[in-house]
Amino acid sequence: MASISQPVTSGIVLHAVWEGPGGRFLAWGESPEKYIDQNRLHQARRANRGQGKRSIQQYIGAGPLHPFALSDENFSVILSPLLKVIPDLAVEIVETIIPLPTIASNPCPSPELLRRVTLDSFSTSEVNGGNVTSRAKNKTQFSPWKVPAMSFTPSSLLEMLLLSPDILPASCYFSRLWMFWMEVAKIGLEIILQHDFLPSVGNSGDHQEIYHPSWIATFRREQQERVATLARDMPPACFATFHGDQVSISHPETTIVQFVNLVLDGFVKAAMQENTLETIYHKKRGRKNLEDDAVRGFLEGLVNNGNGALDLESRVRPIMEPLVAWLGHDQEQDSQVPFRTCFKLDPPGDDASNDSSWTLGYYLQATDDPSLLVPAESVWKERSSVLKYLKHRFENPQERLLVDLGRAAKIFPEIDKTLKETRPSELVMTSAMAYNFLLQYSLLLEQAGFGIIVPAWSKQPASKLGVVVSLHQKSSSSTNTGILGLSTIVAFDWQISMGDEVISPEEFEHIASLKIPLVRARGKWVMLKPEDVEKIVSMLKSSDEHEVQELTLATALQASATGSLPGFDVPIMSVSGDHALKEFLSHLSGTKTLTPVPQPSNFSGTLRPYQERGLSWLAFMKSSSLGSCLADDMGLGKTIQVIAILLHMKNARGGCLEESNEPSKNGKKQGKKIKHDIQRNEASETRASLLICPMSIMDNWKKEINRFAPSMIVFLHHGKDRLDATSIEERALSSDVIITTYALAARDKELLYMINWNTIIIDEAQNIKNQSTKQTQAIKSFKANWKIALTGTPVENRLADLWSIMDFLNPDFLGSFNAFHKSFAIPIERYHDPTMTSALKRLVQPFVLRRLKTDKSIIKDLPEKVEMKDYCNLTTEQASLYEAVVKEMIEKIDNADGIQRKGLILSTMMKLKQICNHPAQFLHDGSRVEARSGKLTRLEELVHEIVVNKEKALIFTQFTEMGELLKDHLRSKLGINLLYLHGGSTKKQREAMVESFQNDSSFPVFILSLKAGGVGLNLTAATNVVHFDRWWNPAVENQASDRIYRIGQVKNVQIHKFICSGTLEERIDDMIESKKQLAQNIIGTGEYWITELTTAQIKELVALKRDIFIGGE
Amino acid sequence: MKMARRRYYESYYWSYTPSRPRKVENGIQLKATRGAIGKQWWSKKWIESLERFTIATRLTRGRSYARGGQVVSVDTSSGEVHAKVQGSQPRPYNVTIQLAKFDDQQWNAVLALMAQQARFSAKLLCGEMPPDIEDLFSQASLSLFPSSKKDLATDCSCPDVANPCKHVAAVHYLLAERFDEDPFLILELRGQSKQQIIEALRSRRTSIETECNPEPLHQDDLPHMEENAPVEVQVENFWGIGEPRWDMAINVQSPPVECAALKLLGPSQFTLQGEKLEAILEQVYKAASQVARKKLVEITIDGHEDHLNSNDHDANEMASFS
Repeated sequence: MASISQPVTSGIVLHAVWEGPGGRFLAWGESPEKYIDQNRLHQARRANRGQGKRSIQQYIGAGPLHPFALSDENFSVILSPLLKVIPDLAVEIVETIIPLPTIASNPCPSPELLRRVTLDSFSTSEVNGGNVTSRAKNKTQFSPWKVPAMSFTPSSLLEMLLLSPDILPASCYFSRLWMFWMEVAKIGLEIILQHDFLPSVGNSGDHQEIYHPSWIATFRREQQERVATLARDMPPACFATFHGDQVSISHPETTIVQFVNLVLDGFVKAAMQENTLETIYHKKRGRKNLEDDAVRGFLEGLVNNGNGALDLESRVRPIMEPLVAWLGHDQEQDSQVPFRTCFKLDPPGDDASNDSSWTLGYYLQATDDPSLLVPAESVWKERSSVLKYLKHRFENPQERLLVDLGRAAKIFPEIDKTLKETRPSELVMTSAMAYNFLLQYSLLLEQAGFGIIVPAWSKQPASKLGVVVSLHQKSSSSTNTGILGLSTIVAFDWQISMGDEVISPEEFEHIASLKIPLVRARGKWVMLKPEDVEKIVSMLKSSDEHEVQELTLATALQASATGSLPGFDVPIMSVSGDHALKEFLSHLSGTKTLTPVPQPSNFSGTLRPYQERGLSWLAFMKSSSLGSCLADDMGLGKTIQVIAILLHMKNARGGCLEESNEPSKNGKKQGKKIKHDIQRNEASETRASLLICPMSIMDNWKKEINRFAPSMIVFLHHGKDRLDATSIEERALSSDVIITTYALAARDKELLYMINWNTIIIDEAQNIKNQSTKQTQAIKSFKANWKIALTGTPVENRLADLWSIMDFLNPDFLGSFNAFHKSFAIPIERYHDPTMTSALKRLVQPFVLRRLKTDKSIIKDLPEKVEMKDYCNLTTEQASLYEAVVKEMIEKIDNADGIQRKGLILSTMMKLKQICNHPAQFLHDGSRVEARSGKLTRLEELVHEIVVNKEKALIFTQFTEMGELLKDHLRSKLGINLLYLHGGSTKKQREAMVESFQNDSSFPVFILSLKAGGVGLNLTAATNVVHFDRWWNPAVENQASDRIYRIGQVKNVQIHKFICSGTLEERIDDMIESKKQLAQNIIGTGEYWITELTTAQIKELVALKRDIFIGGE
Repeated sequence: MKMARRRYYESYYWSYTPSRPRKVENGIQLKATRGAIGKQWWSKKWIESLERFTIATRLTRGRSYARGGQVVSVDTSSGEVHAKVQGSQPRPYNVTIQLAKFDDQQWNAVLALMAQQARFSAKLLCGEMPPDIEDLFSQASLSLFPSSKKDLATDCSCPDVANPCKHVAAVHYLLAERFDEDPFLILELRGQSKQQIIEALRSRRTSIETECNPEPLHQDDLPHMEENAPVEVQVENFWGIGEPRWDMAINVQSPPVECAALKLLGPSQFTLQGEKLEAILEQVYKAASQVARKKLVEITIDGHEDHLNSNDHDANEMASFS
């Protein structure tokens, strides 16, 4: 996010280690450049090896300088952005000695560094994920290495760890060590936010009697479980130190607890320096006594960072003992006992004359079976020391119950009263007491380890007091066209809701006058928060029955999702509407199934059932002009659904359009109607829709529209056919869809802004995720009656994308980016907060349709294998190379025959294929790779989508050189691990690669040369196959595709065949498709059949069709 | 001047031995190194009873004996206190402290009263002497704490004529700290063990005579903390195994009950100029969590306003274009 002027190194791997209690928290880094340099050096040195092995003892305390550690002069890359945001950050540049696995006198790189550099000396078979494999194990041992490091003080550790992903430049890569401490810091943050901590007077961990007032965490059970999970996965490198000549770690769980305490204490003390003791404690005038000074001394120690601890100790001494006793008051119940005491709250019976006799029953509860409750009465009757109840043994049940009641009474003092009885079995409470119990004491007792059973309604929001909002369409309004949209203004009124029931103001006033927090309204119990009662009372007083209140439907939807409405301080329980509004709201919330829309009769294809549902949804959204995000999983056919809705809209528009297109013919006779139509057209319907997509799939879109909706007229706004200010209006009237690219949308923004588009569709909508770019801003400025965004990557986890897409679809609905970031993005993305996650889900759910391939209802509709053709464009460079090769062949072919002719044809085909793949492959010049091939650009997008969706892919190519090029390019471009199997791979390497691909999630992509990987391998971990270039033989391709589509494959698979539009690739593919039967017969094992074609056929085959678009973005 | 007066004072009792006690290895020491001995009211009460019957100098010396670890052993297993205290002589002195025991009839009366209210058992089992236990004993015309010198029989093998002597006092102080931890101990000195009382109360609660031998509560059976010894690290798993999958969800909402951990401690006895310590601490909790929320949850992005402005700028540009 924050950008720095010029990073010193292109990619730093950042590590973090902690030296333990009292020790330092250190950050150090690895530099890829230095690693590569060092490795070259090392290889050169290999020849004259023979340098003696030094003993570990020799190293201790004076390790040699780590050869590729980030040097301290480069720390500013990290420190200057951190200091900008955390001005209090106290950091010291130090040197430290750390143990590292060492092989041949060189430290092994971390897995993260290894992933960032490509080195021939480290193939995947030798180093697997950075850990040393058994083969290399014997050669590897720990040695100490000196590294420059940044030492951070505890006071800003929490901030430093939790903010660093946002602050540090993208060139800093966080290692798993850093990520580990970040996760631990997250526990620390939750503990602070949830108040799960206590003051303490000493450093209890060390058995030291030092007075060191500090804050320590009290871990709840969930938090303990998280600590245990983290401890299990803790990389030893986080904490490992030398103990003698052995490298060892202390118990991870203790380490984590100590670290949480460290960041917690540091943070609270630093936070209190901003809120001094004086501001929190209102100094009163009064006589000071010795105890005052002691208490003050204790508090000062807790809010100051270790200043004057000696003096404090003598001040606190007079109260030390009772203070320790109070703080050490251990309310935590031993979780190991097989049973515990449980409190069960029951409301007064139905026939009770008095609604304020609530009972809190005492029970013993089996820990392993919470439904097994032994009432206290039965416990008191048991004379022996063991109570047997339904196969459960309760040892010393009476004493357990007594001890627990004694403990519970300290938390909930009301219990004390019942302990005056001989055999207490329940507490009878007034409703005010029961309300307090529900709100506070039940939670405290639960936290102290007691079983708590409260009526189910008390946990449901419906049992609370709130208002229900009813919407009414404004009848007299001029804007009432019958079409509802987000900006439609509707009237509303509100009623009081209690326990899911609407009650009259009179009834409410009666209830409010009783001043009872728990009441039974029409048989249902309701909790009345006194503040809410007050607020509603005053709302009733100030409301004027004749005043009509209004809001927009957008606000109504927000209120329905968030439960709050501006101007209303009380919870909004529900939002409902009458007539059309009711229908509208229930469709949106998904509570009512949509009116099915059949696929258009002139649609040449068949929609699968879920695609028809998608069409119906789009049609409904269209009817209210609600911006819609179709986010189905990749491979589910978003394109086809969009084509269907566009065709559906065209058909619906049909008559009206013809009429209004030629108003002059109809003359004055129908003036009134025409006027109406024109009005409507101005407000809504123009003919053309604008489709914006990445360059690489532009042609694909055109082909798909032509295939499924031949009646639609498509125009590509691109290349030589680019429209200008004079031609665009005409084109917009004569076309149904105008397709352009993101880059052009930004460049031609003034032009595209001129048209009031029917619909704007953006494909690969994540392209507008960065809302500060010109491109995004241009696209958002375009006018349209309706907007659709398509994306196959899950948007719910990357909220900046989601916001930007929603901002495009339905501007303002999610509020400003800053407000959204503050209330949703950080809590959800960083902390996965469940409350905010579900709130946001409710908010965007009406506008997003996302089906997963794994959905049960989808799977049954899906074929197990989907084959698709991905049409790619040629870049200008590719096109001119292509034409040059074709020209050369045509000049020669007429004078060639026999073997010479065959050779010419085959070599030309080979060259053309290479050009279609990538100019660098054809030129063999090792030149730049980026942005020179349409296929490669498409592959980058596809692989990115696959990786983001946590799927795996196989990429087949016939060319070893291309495989190499793809491997290096995808690795550096996408930062992923790739495996590459080619003819030269050994059997052992082949096995290791298959093993890694099938079992290690860090290898998402496997490149195979068609010959080497076509047979015998089982690669069912992949669900996607890409044929980057074509082997014009379906049998060979199918065999390759079957590597994933075979026994053991449990998911649906997608086969992508890459084809360059307008080239021989497209034409051969057409030939095979149109004459599949014939092709089966004439096609042998290879591509020689092509040489049998006539010269005219050959010429026709290879000629470049210039009607396609060519060029790069 | 001071010295002279002390000499005079001591010589009045003829028995003054000026020699220093011999050092004891691993003697039992008072935990309270300074200030009052005995945290709980019942322990304090116990000390009061001693202080009522003992000469001040013996108390002072007894306290420094108890603090200096001169008490070699204390045994209360027989319902009486037998202790060994190292003085100046080679062999430690034998100290006995006995409380007058209640007979069965007296105990029956006490237990009957205790069984009437569950809270007596509840508090005792929680390690607390019920605050009104003395009223209960007086209802049975008894006193839990020694009310007269007759109630408290003390003996010591030292040559000091004064009884209680400093050795008895030292043991007495140590006992107070034991009572802090286990209030049943006082009752035991009156003749009934913890087990006997628990059982007797249970049988009275159930109103049926019982013959079984209840097992003691397994309070010591707490699970042992895992060994904290360092574990050797292997090169293969130094960086951790597999891909890290940490991305846990945490709750960044406000807590359902504020300062629950603090509230679970119960009320403290401390105030600062009239304000309760808990109340002040609650302010610290709230302030700290507010700062955390502001800094780490509700983060706004710097410079974002600029983007918005440039957005507006572009929009204006376009509007003028159209």
